[in-house]
Amino acid sequence: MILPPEVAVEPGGEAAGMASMVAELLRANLADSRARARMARRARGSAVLMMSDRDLGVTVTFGPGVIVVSGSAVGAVPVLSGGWLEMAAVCTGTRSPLRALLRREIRVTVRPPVSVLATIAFTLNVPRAAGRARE
Amino acid sequence: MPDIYSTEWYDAVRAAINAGVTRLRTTPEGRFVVAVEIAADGRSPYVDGEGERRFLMEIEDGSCLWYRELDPGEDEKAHVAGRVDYRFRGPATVFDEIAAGLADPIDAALRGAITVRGDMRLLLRHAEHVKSLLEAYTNAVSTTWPLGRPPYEAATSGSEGAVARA
Repeated sequence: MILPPEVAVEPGGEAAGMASMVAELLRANLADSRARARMARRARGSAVLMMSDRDLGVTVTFGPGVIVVSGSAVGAVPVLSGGWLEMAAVCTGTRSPLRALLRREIRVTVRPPVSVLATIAFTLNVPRAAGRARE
Repeated sequence: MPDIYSTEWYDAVRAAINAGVTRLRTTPEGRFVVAVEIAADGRSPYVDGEGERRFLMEIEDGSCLWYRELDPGEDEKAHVAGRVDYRFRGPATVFDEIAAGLADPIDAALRGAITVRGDMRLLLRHAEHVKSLLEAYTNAVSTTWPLGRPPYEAATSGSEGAVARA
């Protein structure tokens, strides 16, 4: 059995609400998908998710046994950016990331560690079989 | 024009939500119960003391079936067969400013001024519907403000603790 890493939210930051939402999304996806849990457990490094139309971003850092989500965009790390509707659609699998990239609805800033981009894209993407959960 | 937070005002918001839904490409299937908790913050004249106003609404296939304001101390379970799917909570001034078109509801949620609890996957999957719902709340209803319209003056001794448990 693969235990998913813990997901923690760093208090504060301008995008504190967005950080909580991203953390909830990650917790649910990692609990439902062993492949996502495995990938998250192995990943190391940070990436920024930027809502470009809101000028708000969060930083997701994959560490040993824990993923920390903070409500600010910090550091020279890979960045995935786009409008919040487009980012929501890509994250939840209702829009293809490739199509969104080709249409320039989302943009990627490639910086090391590049592999964390794949990790964040996969772990945030809602598993196809995920059902309707309740509060 | 209906008074803010009156029955007539929520009827108008409900009508605006349902009109907006007809223009969407996709809507969430099924029924969802949403709770809105508007907490006193010492600034808004529409929520007294350190109390709160609580509303429930039910969404079915994207349309708002009903809404109800709960009396103080009233158990929401009396009106909900299952559990609440989404809970929005924040200070009254933020909700007032959103209703007055002075604040953006998405910004308020992303910045944490309004806390959102519930299944984020479904919420984000239907972000377009959420946007439409919030636009109805923000833009679609002409509102009167019998106790004063935001922006309010800054509180001298706010009761921020009223929202701290969100």
